[in-house]
Amino acid sequence: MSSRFSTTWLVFPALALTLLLSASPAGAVRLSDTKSSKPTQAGGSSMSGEDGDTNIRLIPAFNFGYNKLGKGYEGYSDLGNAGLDLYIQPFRAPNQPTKAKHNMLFRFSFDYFPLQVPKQNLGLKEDMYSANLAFVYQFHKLNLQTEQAWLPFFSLGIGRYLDMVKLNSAATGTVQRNRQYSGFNASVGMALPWFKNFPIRVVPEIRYHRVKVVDSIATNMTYQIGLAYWPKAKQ
Amino acid sequence: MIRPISRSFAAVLVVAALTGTGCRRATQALMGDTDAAVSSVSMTIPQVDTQTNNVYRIFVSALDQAGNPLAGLQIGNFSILENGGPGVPIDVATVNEPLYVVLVIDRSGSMAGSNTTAANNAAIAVVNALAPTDYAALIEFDNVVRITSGFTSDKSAIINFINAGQPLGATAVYDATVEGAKLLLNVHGRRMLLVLTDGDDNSSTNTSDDAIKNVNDRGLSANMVGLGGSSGPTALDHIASETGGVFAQSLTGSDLDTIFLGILTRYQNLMSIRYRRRESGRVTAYLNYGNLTASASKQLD
Repeated sequence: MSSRFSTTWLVFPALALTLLLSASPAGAVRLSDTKSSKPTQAGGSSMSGEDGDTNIRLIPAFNFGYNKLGKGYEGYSDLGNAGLDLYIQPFRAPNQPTKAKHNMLFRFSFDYFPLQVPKQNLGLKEDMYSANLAFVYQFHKLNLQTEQAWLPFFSLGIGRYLDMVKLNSAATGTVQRNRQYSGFNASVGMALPWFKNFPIRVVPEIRYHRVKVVDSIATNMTYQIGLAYWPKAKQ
Repeated sequence: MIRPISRSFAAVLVVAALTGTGCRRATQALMGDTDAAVSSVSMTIPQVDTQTNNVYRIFVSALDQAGNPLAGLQIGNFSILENGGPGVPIDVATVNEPLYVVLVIDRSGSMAGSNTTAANNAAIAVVNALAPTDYAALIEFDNVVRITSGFTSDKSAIINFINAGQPLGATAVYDATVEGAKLLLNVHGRRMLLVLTDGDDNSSTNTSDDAIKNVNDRGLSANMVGLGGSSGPTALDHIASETGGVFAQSLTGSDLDTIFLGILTRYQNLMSIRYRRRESGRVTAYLNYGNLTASASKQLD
C-alpha cells in the first residue's frame, strides 16, 4: 500500500552483516586464529599463508539478460533484466582440510525487471525491483587454485520484490502505486575461468523467481550473463 | 594494463547490457475513434468475474448522453484503479455470452391493481427483448420469497408465470435480493439482477447490508426499481449504489417498461476488461473517450 520503501528492505543488509560478523567472530572481516592448522591434502593445493586465517572474499558482479515472464503475467511481453550481485565467501579457510562449507557463498542481488505491460494500454508503465539474499553452493573445492577452474553452482534465496506501476491518463491523472511482495528464487549457473589473466569471470546463469502477489503466484525466469570481479582469496 | 581485446569485450558487454535492459518497447495506446456527436459519457460496472486468482474480468456498460452504447472502444480507452492504485488491463472485448436475467417482483398486498399490471407488463417487455440464447428466471416475494421459475429460455412459459402472480402479504425485498443473487451464483455469462418493489422492507430476516454483501460477493450488481411514492428510495438507492447497480423510480408505473428496458440495454451491450489484479478491495474503471471521461466503481472481496 505504501508508496515508499518500507523498512523491510533493510532486513537484507542487516542479515548480511550478521552473517559476516558471525563468520568472523571478532566482528572483523579478516582475523587471525591462533590455532595451527594442517597443510591441506586436497588436490595438492599450493596455497599458503597465515595458518588459520579466516578470510572473507567479496565478489562484486553485474548481470543482464532476457527476462521470460511466466505465471501471473498474462498479456505481458518478455523483456530484459539487469542487476548487481555481491557474493560473499565467508568460510574460506586456507590450509584447512576441505569441507563442504568451503564451497558455500552468500549472494546479495539487486535486480531490475522492466516489465512490458499488455500492449496498447494508455499511459501505463510497470517495473519490478528485487532485493534477494541467496545461498550459493559451488561444485569446486575452494582451496584449490581456482583461477582457471570452471565453477558450476546453484543457489536458493529469498527476497522482497517491489512492483511499481504508474498510470497517466486523462481520466485518472498521474497515479503511482508501489507494492511489495515476498518471494524466493533459485538458480543454476557456471562461473567461467578468469578471462585471460584478469580476475574477471563471466557467469552465465538461469534464475527463477517466484513471488506471492495478493492471492496468486507470479513467476519469471531470467537467462542472464554476469560479469564478476573474482579476485584471489586473501592468503 | 588492459589489452585491446579486453576493452572490446567489455564494450560489447556494456552495449549488450544497455540494449538488453533498456529495450522497453513503447506502444501506441489503442483507442477507438470518438464520435463528435457524443457530448457526455457514463459508465457502470454491472458485473465482475474472477477468472483466475490474479485475473479478474470487469463487465462495463459505457453509454453516451442518449443512453446508446459507445461503439469501437479499445483497451486504450480504459484505465483501472484498485484501491486507488493502478491496475493493469490485459484486454478488452465485446461480451457475447448468454444473458441470465433474474426478475425479482414484489407481490405484496400493496401491489394490487395497477402496480401489478405495470410490473407484469415491464417484466414481460424484458422477457420479450431477450435474445433466443438468453435465459430468464422469476422470483416473487411478499413476506415470503419464492423462486417461481428457474432459468428458462422459454419465453411463453415465464410470461405465463409472470401473469399468474397474485399480490398478498408484506414486503421482504432484502431477502428477495439475497435469493436473486444466490440464483445467479452458478450460471456463467452476463448476469442481471432486477428488483422491483413498491414499498419499504418490513419483513426480511436479512438487512440491506446483507443484501449488498451477497450481491457483491458474487460479483453482481443489484438494479433496484421503486414503484410509486411509498417505496424507500434511500434504501433502494443505497443497495444499487453500493453494488454498482442502477436505481430508478417510477411514480406511476407508466414508464416502468422503459426503465426495465433501459437497464436491460446496459447488459445487452457490455464490454469486458480483463485485468491483472494487484490488490484486493474496490476496483474503479475509468473511461477515456476523447476529452470526455467517466468512471464507475465496484467493491470486491
